[in-house]
Amino acid sequence: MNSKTISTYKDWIKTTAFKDFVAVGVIAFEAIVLVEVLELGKTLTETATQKAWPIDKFITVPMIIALAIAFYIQGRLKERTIELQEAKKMAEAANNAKSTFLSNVSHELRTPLHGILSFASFGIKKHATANPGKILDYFQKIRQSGETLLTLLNDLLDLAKLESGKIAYKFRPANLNSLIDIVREEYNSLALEHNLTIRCENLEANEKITLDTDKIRQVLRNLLNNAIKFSPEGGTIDVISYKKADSIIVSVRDQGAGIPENELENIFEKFFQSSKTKASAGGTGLGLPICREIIAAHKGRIWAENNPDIGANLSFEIPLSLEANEQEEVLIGANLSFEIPLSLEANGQEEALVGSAS
Amino acid sequence: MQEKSKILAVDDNSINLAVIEELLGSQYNLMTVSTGIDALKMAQEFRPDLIILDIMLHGMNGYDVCQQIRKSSSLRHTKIIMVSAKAMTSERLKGYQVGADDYLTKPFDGEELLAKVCAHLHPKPIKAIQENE
Repeated sequence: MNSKTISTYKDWIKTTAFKDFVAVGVIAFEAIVLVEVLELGKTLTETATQKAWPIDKFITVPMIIALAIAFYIQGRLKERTIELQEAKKMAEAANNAKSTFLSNVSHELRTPLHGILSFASFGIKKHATANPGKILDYFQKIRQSGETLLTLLNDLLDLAKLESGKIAYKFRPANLNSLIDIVREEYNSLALEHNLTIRCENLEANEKITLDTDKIRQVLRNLLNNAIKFSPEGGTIDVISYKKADSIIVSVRDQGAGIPENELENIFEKFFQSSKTKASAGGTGLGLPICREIIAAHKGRIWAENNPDIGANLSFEIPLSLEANEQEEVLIGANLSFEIPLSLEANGQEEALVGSAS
Repeated sequence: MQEKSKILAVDDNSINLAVIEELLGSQYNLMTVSTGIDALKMAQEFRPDLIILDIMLHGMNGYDVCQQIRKSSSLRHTKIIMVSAKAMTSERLKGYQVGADDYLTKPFDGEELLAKVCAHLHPKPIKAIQENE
């Protein structure tokens, strides 16, 4: 901006009501002050238009450029501010989630630890006087609490691995119905203990689906275990699988108390226990979050709903086959990496193994 | 012989209830329940002198139970010791805010629970203590 422009400008400013407002900005003329100039420019343009003042007398080309820069800076500043505010909000939310998680973990660890420490103390104090049956009872309670602690730690590690995305899934074409049968066999004795019947209904022919058998088995175990826990004595659990377009749906239906409507989503959150859960049901509160991670890795979804008559219905849906580029799995060894693309066409289900030194 | 003081213990974890039974069962008239709803029901029937209350309960949590008990005219003066694995100061403070008399964090020393129970069941007015001296 040349001195003539400035003096013309200053002269004009002296005659306006805005001189105090803009004086500093015009003299310093630094980048940050351009925003102030912009405010003036906007007002000037508006006023000039309204009062039909000769705009060309005080707005010259450098002035317009300066205004354009100011406009730009102000726009960027606003954008940046919004971006930063959002980033801050997200960081705060993540931090809160972490604190809540740690508080929950602390609570879940302390509970079984309390059992271990208390019964160990009773043993120490009463070992000389108590009868062997009593001492045995203490040891059993210590072991029971230890097992609870171990299950919790295993679940925590499982979930951490799944969430970090560092776990290698072994996707293979497999028969889902035979997986369901295997898991049902595993749980038959537990079901009998509670006088429960597990019915399996496979509405589809034995179609092969791309999945990680170990992981899907873990999901099925979790769902069945929950259904057994929440079923009333003598009830029936239905495991139904059926095809829908390009995916398969598996539903595990129990005859328990059901899930309150406002908790249908929450039950997939870490450490959430439904308010209708029997106090004795136990569980780490990590089973369903683990299931959700596994199903998400299969590009599927998992959800809960209540049956119209009685009990809850936990279902998952996974696509029959994953996209070609997602079937590849990279295993990294000490100094070798293998890419294992899986051919999943109906006619050729053998795997091609391509190994290359890296 | 003086009648045993009545204590109601509320915890959803059976092992934790077993700990309390082991500690207090022989000296006090102890009743145990595992849900908040049962706690309220039992408190009305049993009229305990002291309640040992866990916070993380299914359905109705310990804070809510405590508030309900404080609203009841017949149970207003019942002593409540909250026992929880919730260890943060904010959680403990919330316990006091809803009307708990004391708070113990799991894992706790059995002797400490016994001492607290004893202290809350036999409070002496300062005047009575001074007169005894």
